[in-house]
Amino acid sequence: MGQIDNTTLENIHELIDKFFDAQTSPDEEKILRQILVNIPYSSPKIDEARAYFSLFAMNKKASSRKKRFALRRIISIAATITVIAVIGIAYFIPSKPNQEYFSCIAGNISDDENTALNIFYEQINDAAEANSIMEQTIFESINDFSDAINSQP
Amino acid sequence: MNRLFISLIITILCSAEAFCQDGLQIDKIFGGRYHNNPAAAETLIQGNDDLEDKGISLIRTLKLTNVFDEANFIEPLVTADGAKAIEKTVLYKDGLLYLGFYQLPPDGKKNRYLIYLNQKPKGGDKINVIFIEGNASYDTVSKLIKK
Repeated sequence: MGQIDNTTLENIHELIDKFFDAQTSPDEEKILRQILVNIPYSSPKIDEARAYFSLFAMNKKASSRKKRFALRRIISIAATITVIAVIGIAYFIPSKPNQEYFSCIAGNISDDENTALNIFYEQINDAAEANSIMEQTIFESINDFSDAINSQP
Repeated sequence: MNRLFISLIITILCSAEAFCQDGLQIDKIFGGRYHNNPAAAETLIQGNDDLEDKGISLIRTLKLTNVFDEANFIEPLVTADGAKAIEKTVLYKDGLLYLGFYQLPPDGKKNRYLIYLNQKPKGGDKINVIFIEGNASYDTVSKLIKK
């Protein structure tokens, strides 16, 4: 690209001034950016405008990078919470067990429901009888103790 | 973020380990020791509807008939687990544990109970061990053995 004439340079400077006064339309800003990118020419004003647009572009990139990072972070946190929730639910909420009946009597194995339940209830009955005996024993001991106390002069 | 994630997982697993079933001593009598013993009857009941209604989800029992020597093996296991009981009712007779009813420390959210009976001191012929697990309360289970 060759040198630009002074009029064009002045127009560019005017546009830059207008931009920094926040008086440019979006189309004018677009044109200004294209000019700054395409002309090899430099002046303090042009350099200042170029610096501004570069910084702005970096901020845009940084802002979108920040947004992407924030989104990734949110997704990571959500994934972590989901995994923890799944592990917690799987472990702490009891699941209904399947029915199972097993009995082994003198080496003979059976999965019959009634056989297993009969043995269980027979044993419960034995325990109930023993419990009754125990309560009777306690009752008798208390009576003996009471008699001993009452027989004191 | 990765380190946080890994730390959280490790924390959860360690916490979960604390809730895992403590191995009970009486586990040694279930699952095969007496399967070939002609004097033994072992049962496992799980998921029975009537018992589930009472809050009982698992039962394991062992019955030995006329083999009182086995009490030398079984009673120490019962008393070892019973030493950690939350509630217990026991009766000794003639130097032997005649009846023991224990509420053991829970396994996670499941209550656990152990009932032991050695009928020898009262002239009977059986050793009974009953392990109960479920949501049932101590009162509910103790009602099972009340006449």
